[in-house]
Amino acid sequence: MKVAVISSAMAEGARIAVEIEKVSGVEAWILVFKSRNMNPWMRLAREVYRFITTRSFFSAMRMAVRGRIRYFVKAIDDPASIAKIKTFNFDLGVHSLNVIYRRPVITAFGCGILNSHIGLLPGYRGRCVAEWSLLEGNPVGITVFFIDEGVDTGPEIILQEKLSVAQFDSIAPMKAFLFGEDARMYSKAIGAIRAGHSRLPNCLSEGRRYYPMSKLFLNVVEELLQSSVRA
Amino acid sequence: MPIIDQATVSKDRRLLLIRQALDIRRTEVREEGKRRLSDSASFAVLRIANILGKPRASMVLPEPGDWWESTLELEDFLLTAASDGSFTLLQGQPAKIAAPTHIGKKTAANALETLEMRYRCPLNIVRPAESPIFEEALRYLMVVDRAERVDGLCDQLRWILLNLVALRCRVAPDIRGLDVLNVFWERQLKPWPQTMLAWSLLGSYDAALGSFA
Repeated sequence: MKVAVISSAMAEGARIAVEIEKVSGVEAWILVFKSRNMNPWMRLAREVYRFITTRSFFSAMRMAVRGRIRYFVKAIDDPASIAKIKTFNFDLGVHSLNVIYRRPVITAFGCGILNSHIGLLPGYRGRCVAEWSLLEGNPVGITVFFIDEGVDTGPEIILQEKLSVAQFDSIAPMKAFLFGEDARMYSKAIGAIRAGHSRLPNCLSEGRRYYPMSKLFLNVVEELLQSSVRA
Repeated sequence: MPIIDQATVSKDRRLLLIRQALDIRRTEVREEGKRRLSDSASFAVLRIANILGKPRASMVLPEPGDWWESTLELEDFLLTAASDGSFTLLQGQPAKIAAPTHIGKKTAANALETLEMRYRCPLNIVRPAESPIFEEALRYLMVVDRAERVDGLCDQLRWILLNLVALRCRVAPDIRGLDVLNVFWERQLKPWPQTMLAWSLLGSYDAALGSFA
């Protein structure tokens, strides 16, 4: 199975690619796309920073030596980029790029594109869903699902896990932890796809879309996390 | 890995923290609102200034029926409702104008016209069947409107949508709707405009903050 990690940084892509290659029969690639409004020097600085923080430099080098990294100078939804992606015949894409995909991009990856969402679908779609889950007294977790053109509306959920965040006393480290779980979750999801596990429907009527939270409620969530740690 | 036990923070504690936060915000809205409103010469605005800081009456609605109509125009109705004034609702025919979908795809003028015709009596926004337009209002305000377009019509559209959201949250509390109002309060506090729609929003926001149990 040929899987492409779609990323805006080589370090991020390598961090995920290394993990998904642990699934037997998976051949991981990294597709790096240009970030919006970022000059080449900023991009280089960000790569260096991410190589340090994700410790993925040697993984990326190994991928590069095997010729499994491709840089794109144009945006992912540019027809030239889509045409080039199609030449690789990827079976699956894995999302690690801050964009909403359009239909031609999604269909350029055989089965589609997976997203690791830091909320439990179908209940929590949109932004700040970990914070909203805590504010509403519900479990926090991650859902891996097939992306469509909407915001967390893809109809098929591959897997989801509730996760403990009780050890975090503030939002930033909690979210860093949840976002950092994406590689492990992608790996498990690809394993589930290869094993032919059944999928769950993402029933939109059973959930709601959430938006960035106000400072007022973010403070409440901070207090909830601190109360949880104290408890 | 153990699953977070949300019960480590009891439901009572969680609701208490939310209630405390809303009370703090309500005090802020009342103090800031009164300070800004008290210089106004408008009777309607002074009524809102007077009601801030007093216990708010819960809105008593008649039987749902098909659709409500009112003798007041949209902005007058919003001001009256915001100051707990009395208004008369009449049973009418279902609105002939369909609820706008994808507000951001319309021109501001077109979206405004549709909203003003459909919600001439804005209280109809509280009907359960109006949930899609409520959701679209939240989406527009939090996603599309974040581009912060500054022309007058976009401003007018934003304030009407905020008033509709506040009115609905007052009658049918919704924590996401309330938080959209929180976000706009935090963003707009300093350049709060001197318009009737902005004043009526102050009154309705205050009431919505108080109605969340």
